[in-house]
Amino acid sequence: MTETEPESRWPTIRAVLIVVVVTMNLAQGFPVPNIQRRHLEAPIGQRELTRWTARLQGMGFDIDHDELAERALDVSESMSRAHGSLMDPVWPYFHWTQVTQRWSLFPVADPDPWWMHIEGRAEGGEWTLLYRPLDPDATDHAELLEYRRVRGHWNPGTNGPRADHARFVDWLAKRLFADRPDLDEIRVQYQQFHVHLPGQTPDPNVSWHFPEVRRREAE
Amino acid sequence: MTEAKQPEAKTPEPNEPKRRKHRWRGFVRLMDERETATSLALVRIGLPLVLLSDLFWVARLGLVDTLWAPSTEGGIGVADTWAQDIPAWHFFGASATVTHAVFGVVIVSAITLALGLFSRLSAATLLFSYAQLAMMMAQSDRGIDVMFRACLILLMFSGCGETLSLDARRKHGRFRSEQLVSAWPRYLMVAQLAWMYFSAGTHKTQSAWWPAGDLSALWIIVRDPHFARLDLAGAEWLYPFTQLGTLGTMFFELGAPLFVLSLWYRRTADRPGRLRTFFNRVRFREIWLVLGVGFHVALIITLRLGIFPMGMLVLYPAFFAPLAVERFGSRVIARARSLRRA
Repeated sequence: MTETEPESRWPTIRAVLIVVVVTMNLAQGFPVPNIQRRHLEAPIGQRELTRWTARLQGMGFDIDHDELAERALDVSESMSRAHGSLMDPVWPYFHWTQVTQRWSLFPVADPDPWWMHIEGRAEGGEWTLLYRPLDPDATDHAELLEYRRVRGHWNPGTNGPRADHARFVDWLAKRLFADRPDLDEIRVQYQQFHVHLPGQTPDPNVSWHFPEVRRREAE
Repeated sequence: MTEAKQPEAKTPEPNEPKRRKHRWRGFVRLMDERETATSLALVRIGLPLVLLSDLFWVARLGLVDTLWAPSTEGGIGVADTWAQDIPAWHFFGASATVTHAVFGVVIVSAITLALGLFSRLSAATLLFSYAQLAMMMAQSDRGIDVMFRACLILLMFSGCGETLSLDARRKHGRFRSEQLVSAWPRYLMVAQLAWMYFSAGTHKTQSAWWPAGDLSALWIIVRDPHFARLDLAGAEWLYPFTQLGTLGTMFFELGAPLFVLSLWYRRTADRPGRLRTFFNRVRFREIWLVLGVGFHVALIITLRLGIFPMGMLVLYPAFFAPLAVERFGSRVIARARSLRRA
């Protein structure tokens, strides 16, 4: 470019716009902790609290388990509120594009995972296992149920089943009753078991949660 | 002597504003750079193809209504009962027909984007129609869908349709073109991917991801029956490998900013600096990329995560300068030709 040529302002304007957009995205993605009481009351939350309390006490902080829980809730709430107000003016951008910048890919590896069991039975009969993930003998509707967008409805989070879990069971029951005239009832429930680490004593205890039963409606 | 030194330490150096101005100008120049469109053209082709494979699966399983129709017409979700502003339903009414139309627009715009036909318009249409589906049923919208939309924003502003496209054929009479386009959308895509990994790393605060928790996270995850591809209950000999995998995952995710730094050091390899020399000597960029590809391939083998691993891998061409991609492509084509002749 020769010196006599006027310099375009566009590259500078574009660079400013890029800085604004990147800053906006980084601010949205700032890892503000979203800790709620139910998170801390869950077994995994209790374990993490115990570990962190021990760690902080080891570093010389005078804090106990309950105090740490309360402080974590306070900090989380005030940070979430501040972050929400900061993001309010630019929220339409994130809403219309449905893009967010907080990426949490398996943030929690839950050592007490859920295991969905779908069972069915004829009137007064025994429950028969129809589908259970990772079970080659119970694969009824496996292709459908294991599709990622469907799994999003039935795979519970650390805090329990998804909000639309009951509607998922309604839909599943309708499909199963249509495909299996021999069934009059279906039941969906979740077994919780403990994944022991090698060297640890296996815990044989399991517990059952969130049972949902649907009966075939009279024709 | 000490007193004489204090004011000096507090006052900025006289050339500090100049240095800042110089850095800003460097940034402006960087964002003004131009390159051929090959890298982003590959992303433009790969992203919609992965999405199409996913959506054809939805159609084959008969799930369009289940996932996105209003609750009154067979949908699992209840977004139609909220006061949420979903433009398609707001303007045309919440019905299964409108849902099918939005699904159709997503399919058509994904096809035209992959073909490179009206690429910018296709990317914009795909972005906003895909976002409608996410609004209709947030529970069905996973991380990879969000990442695809973030990349579509960048593709929309890029010249990704300038090569390997019907747009190039219309403009230049051939599918491949060496037309130069702005490089900043690719740079921002690199930043976006690096941020995603880094952000995922910062969210992994649970002890199981760290030595304090015995680096047991991956062992626990591959034993989760909802995600595991294989039953590893009796395969305890694999535990050390999963520990290594956990460590590698944390290094990879939290090392993403260092990867961006390594790209800068590679660009400015002629400048002095020990850290720069170290990064270039150990080939940090290559190590990180190999870890990234290995990470996603391992996910494909061990876990059922749908299109996530493949969807991420089709974005990887953005990490490479177009010239490197073109050279690699030429080598592959030459090799294929010689094999065919043999």
